[in-house]
Amino acid sequence: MKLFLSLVISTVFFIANADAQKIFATRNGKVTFSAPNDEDVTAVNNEVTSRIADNGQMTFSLLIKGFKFKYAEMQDHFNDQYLESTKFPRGDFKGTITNLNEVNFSKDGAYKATVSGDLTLHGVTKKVTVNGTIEVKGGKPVLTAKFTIVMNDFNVSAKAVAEKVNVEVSCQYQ
Amino acid sequence: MMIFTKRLLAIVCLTLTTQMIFAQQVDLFKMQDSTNAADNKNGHEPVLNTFYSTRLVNGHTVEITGKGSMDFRINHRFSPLNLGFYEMFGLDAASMRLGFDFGLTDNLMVGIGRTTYFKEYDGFIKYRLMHQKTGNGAPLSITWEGSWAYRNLKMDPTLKVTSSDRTVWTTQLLIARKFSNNFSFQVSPSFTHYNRRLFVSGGSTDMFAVGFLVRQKVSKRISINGEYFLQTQRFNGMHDPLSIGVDINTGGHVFQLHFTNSQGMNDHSAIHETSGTWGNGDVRWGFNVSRIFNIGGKRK
Repeated sequence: MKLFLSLVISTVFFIANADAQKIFATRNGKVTFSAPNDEDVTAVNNEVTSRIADNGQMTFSLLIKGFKFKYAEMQDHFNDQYLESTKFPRGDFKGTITNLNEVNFSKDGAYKATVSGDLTLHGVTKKVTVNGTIEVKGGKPVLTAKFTIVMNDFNVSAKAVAEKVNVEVSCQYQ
Repeated sequence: MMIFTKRLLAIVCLTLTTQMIFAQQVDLFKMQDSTNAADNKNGHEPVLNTFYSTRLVNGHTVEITGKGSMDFRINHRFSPLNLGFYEMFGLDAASMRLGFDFGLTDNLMVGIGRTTYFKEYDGFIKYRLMHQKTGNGAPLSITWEGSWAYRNLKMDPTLKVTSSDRTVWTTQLLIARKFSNNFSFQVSPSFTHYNRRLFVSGGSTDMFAVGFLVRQKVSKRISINGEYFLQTQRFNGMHDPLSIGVDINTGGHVFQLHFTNSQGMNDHSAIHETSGTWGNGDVRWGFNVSRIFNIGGKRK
């Protein structure tokens, strides 16, 4: 009886441990949006909500209005004409780490990670694959990535501004 | 034995609870959807672009020039259309206002200007008291505006006009709501004090009016506007100003084209000193050009 019980307990423990899912989250991740040919066109959003689970799932969400520009009028224009933030208030990403076996969240170190998933911007969802770095420091991951998006893909007519935009992501998770 | 069983039970319970916490595989994608939905519901984002510019035709809107920006404004009013072909329907002569507006903070702006009409100098301060927000935030935008005008025109010395006599004060409360992405409406109660009535008779030195400003967007960059000021009393021979116009926003520039019966382009002259009426074709074609320059430092 005693043996049986301890067996049950240890099994339960074992399953519990195997299933234990670690989630890292932040509410003040940083995403920078910049036009490659005009250094004045740079916007920073410091209020990005993001989560990573050690099963490889990764999500990002931000408010378009959270992008701060150097010039107030530029910011207005960006919201009103460019990304139409009243109609489409959020940018959103849901992705999965495709090389999860090369990333170890429980061991400190820098890992190259490839993430592919759905990026939603201006009401349009598009599959993207992004290469970035996950650096685990003291058990907490820091993610950095750089990629380029073509505004036309997201139904944004940006001929006058920037057809291609560089996006930089930098998030420190808790 | 009894104690042992109890202890065991406790351990089992504890383990089971722990297991329940950990064993649930959380789907981050669903988690994101639900937090986003909750955030959207509680969102309190300031509503942008209730109007394209800080003026609609002559009237001030609730908008404030962005911090660190300078708005160079050229306002132009031609002569009345009913002058006929000889005067090219009013295009031969024009009055204008040149102005510079400055955005000092997110909610405060000041401006100065010079008008042909009575060779007036004017200045104003505008402060946003309340900003309409999305979700269940503030339902209205409210801005206060106070202005001063000085009539520099040379006047008959026998009138014994002092510099205080030449000064006119106006204050307005601008109350607006952006009802939808395309439709905005503003009510602006206004009060004007003339130290002395020059070239006008009747009325009073203290004049009240209520302005109604409407904007309907017809595309992303173009809107149709209407502006009307209802006066509680009028100077002799003066009428309520009514203007109908179009805004074309190109980002950095706003072009405003309109027909209006008022010649003045600052507060008191546009609201209380409009001699023309739409009825007899005493209407002027006019335009405002607004060009934004960035003069402030980097936004942090």
